[in-house]
Amino acid sequence: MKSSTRIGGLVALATGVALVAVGCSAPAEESPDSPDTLVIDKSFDLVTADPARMFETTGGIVLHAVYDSLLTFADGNAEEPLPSVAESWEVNDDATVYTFNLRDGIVFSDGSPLTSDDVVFSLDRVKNIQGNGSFLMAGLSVEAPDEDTVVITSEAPNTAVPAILTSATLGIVNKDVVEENGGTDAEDAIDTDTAEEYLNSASAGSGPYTIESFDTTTEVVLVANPEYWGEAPEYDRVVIRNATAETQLQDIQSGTAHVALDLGSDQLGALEGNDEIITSTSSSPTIFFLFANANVDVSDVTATDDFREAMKYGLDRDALLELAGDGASVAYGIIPNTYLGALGEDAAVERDVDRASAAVARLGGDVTVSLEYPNDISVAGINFGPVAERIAAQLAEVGITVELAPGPVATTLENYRNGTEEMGLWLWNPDYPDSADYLAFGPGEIVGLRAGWAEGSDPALESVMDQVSTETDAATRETLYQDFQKLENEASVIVPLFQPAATVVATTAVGQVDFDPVFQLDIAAIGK
Amino acid sequence: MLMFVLRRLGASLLLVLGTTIVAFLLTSVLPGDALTARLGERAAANAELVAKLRAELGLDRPIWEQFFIYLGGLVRGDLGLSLQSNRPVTEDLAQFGPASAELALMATVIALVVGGGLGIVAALRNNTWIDNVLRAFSLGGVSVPLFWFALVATSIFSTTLRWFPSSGRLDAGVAAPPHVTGFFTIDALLAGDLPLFGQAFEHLILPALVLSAPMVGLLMRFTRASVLDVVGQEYVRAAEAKGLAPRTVVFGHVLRGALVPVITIVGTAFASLLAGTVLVEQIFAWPGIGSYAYRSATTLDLSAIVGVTIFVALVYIVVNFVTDVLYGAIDPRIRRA
Amino acid sequence: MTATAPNPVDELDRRRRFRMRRVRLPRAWRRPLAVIGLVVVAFWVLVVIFGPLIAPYDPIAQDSARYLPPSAEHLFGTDGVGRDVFSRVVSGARISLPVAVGLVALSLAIGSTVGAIAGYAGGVVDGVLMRIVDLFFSFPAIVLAMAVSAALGPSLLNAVAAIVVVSWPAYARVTRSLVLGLRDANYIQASRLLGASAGRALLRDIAPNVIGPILVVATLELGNAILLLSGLSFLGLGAVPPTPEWGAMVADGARAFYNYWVALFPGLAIFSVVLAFNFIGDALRDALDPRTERAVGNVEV
Repeated sequence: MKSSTRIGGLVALATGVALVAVGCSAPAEESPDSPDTLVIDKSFDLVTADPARMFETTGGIVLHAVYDSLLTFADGNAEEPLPSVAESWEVNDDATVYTFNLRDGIVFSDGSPLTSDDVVFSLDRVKNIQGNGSFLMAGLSVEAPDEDTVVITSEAPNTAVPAILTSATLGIVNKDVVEENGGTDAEDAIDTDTAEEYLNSASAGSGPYTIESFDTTTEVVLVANPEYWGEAPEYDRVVIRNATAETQLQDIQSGTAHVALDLGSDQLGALEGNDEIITSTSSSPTIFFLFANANVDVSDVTATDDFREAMKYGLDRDALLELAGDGASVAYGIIPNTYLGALGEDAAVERDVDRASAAVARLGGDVTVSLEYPNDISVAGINFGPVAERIAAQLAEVGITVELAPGPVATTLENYRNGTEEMGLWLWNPDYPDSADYLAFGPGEIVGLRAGWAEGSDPALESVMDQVSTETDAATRETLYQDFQKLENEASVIVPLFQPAATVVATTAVGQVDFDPVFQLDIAAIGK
Repeated sequence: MLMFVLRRLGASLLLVLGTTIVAFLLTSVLPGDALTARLGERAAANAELVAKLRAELGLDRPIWEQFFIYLGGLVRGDLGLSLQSNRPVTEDLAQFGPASAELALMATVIALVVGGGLGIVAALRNNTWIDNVLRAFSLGGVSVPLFWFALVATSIFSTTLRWFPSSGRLDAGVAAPPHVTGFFTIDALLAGDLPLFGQAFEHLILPALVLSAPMVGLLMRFTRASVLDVVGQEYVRAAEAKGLAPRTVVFGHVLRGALVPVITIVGTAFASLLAGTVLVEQIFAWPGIGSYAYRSATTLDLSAIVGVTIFVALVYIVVNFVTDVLYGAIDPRIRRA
Repeated sequence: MTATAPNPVDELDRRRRFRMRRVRLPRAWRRPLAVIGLVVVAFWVLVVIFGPLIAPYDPIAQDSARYLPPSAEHLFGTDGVGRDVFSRVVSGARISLPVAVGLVALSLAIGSTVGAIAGYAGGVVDGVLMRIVDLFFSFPAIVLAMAVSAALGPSLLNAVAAIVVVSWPAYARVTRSLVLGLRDANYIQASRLLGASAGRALLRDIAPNVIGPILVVATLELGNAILLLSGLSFLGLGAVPPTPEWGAMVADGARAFYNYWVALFPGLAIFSVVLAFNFIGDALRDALDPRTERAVGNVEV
């Protein structure tokens, strides 16, 4: 009867299992008090925790809490850089030489003081490792005349330097610790620097938090830095978990997470009337845009003025906005609405079906194009799919058949970057909060080239771009940026669609948490 | 047994070679490049950086050369570097494998208990309405689209009733138990941490229930057929003739005979759970092999795809081995032989 | 572990039972589940045929407000871009069903041809072919299918290709084992002695005897094919929007599952079709040799 005992054991085990299951299934207890550990849900795009190699959204959020940069932004403001490691700074008249005076008394998490040496090391390391964010240092060189002063020199006049220096990529690392662990700022750092492994498991910064554990796919745990020079953060321990928008909704409803960063209008509807939750909505600087390839070799349809006109007037931007959530705004130009030179409502393009249809008729009617977009990522809870479907439906009304060609980012991104997409639906996150970043959308520039827009195809536009990039007067720059966008809109190779609503949802125990237009989330400011 | 293991190993070596070739062909012939996605917007526009990275990853070599380099690594147990996680694939597998195995094992236990139990009932009530209802139930388990079932289950049991947590293996920020088996439930018990065990279990139960649905159906059908098969056989009739109580006959003789084919199918079914884990893990944010496989496939992460395949093949071998041992232990005829 | 050589007496007994069962085939249709299955399938076939007449709205027109709950106007509500879910579910039948049937037919044609050749030829041919089958069998189907669709770019056709690639070996195995059982039967030996070619023997003498069990497998696989296809679409690797494919619709609805109707109804549609096919297949399986159960049972992807 040996086997029957075995079966009996199995049944007993199963019963036990079932009992435990019932025992465990009581709803999670929620204390009204503020939690000890703050749990933040974020859809991850983590790659590394080494500032010099990091240039992703999630990485930016994490490292902004771990490393201090020379300057920073705070309180949702993206216009005026504030002192951080640098207490004050001066700039010469042609915006080429910036002099920073470092704050006294800043120490790293190991207690050693932060000096100008660390700053030079950190910035040179970014430059020489040649990671995704190294372009920030393009044309810049760093020197330390004394222990408390750092001088940054730009090859060409560049008013964006202070904004650039706020980036978490340019966070100041502890030179001694990083060097001990294989780091270097030498010119061949791209081949010889081996500090990434260390920086992925620990941290070497002076920020409000230090890294307890770091996993690119599941979660990152931060603990408060006892040596922090500023005001201590409210939460001693913060967990940032990888979760899709759908999971975030469940987590915030069940109290599993306290803050959710990627909820879009699709999910927020479920939270209406929920008084355990506080939502904070603002307009995100992310721009969703559509382009029609201007390269005849890619498409002799989309490369025509008639097609561009049909696209421009065939789109109903207000109907697209509906998909971007409450609080989203139409992008009248490619520069986000809070930046210098942003266009206002007077630049709105009204839908004109007749005009668009006439343009299609001039093309011979029955136009078929393909529209590529990534279908496995979402930003601010917005998937590209519904937006693309609605664009297709709108253009169908003016006689353009849009065949949708979605794909995983890994495959679609390649076509996009190679400039071989006939039409593309993509987004742009600012690299740093300055309008200069949006010159990338001009002919011959990064995004322009992806839309098949070669250098020299729009001389008027390009001359404005040349002027604005070296102009130091703010008022003149504002006008030039406006001209730049008006000319862009006229050309209509790239059509900005909308800036989605950026909504941060938090439980009442934590209180309102606001979206940060530069860092997305300022972890250390939560609860203050 | 040794021969069997050796033959299996030989076959799996062949399999590994085959999958490597298939995976290499797939990613080299077809468009798409995992590399692009690794570079930031600005860096991707820098031809020099792109070339540098290609060289670093060996992607600038001809495909056959890459293939042999990869095979060389494979022999040394090196599965290469995953492009998406930026870590050795073996590390990824060591992290995600146990998570999925725990889920699959739990699902198997549920399926054995529920499917096996109902199967016996169905057989003993052969051709009655109970049999028909249970049959419908079993076919329902096989027929339900798992991704949809998972959504419905979370919506009811996590979001609305709040009986179970909605995602992950543990609550956020809770440290995993010291690594022994990689199964959080078992490791928690080994560490003597009962609350942690409860938590791990709570997280495990709902996804495991969903995942077990097709297996419950499969096992129920098999148990039923198997029990019916055995009931008609001579040794059972002999036992009945000996005047043994019906209960003893059922549990002592019928089940023992009936379990044999059931055990074999458990092995097959366990290995086939992978398809289910891909969908279920997505919805429950379960950090396992299924989500890893999905990410590898969609990012065309060659080393990871091959790694997952090899991993699954290994699981398949181990499970088959275990079922064979069990098979011998349970069936008296085989044991004697 | 693998098949042991069949005992001749068993074999004889098996064939006798096989024939006996065949005579009782009609009884299968008296089973209530089979009847339910047939009714449901018939219902969906009607939906496929008369779909455009039944659907009240254009399945891809975004004419209504977003996320309207079910009402008299929109039986199943509207989805996230304002399309009528009922019309989309109805149109979805015209995609899922024909595509699944075609897909299974294709896998069956490839698989049974390979299996028949392997079983009939035996020896080295058998060994090589079956090792290839093993290779495909042990390749995690979903991973291969995902990689193929991801690399080729998602489309319904690519998803079908991916599923055919991973599902034909099942038919090869079943066919081979059936052919193997028949190859040495007296009447086949006789026909061979009479000078029949291998192809002729396979087609004329063997095919009629194996077609039944294979069709059972196919019926059961039809359900699996629909599940796998909708699963790939759910992951964004199958049907391309705005195609009203059921799996893709569930994915649309999953984003906002509190608007349960968007995902619930297409999911129920998948469930009902697959269940119906499995009801029928199960009855057929029982009606045929109970031993096919074992062969068929192994055919889980």
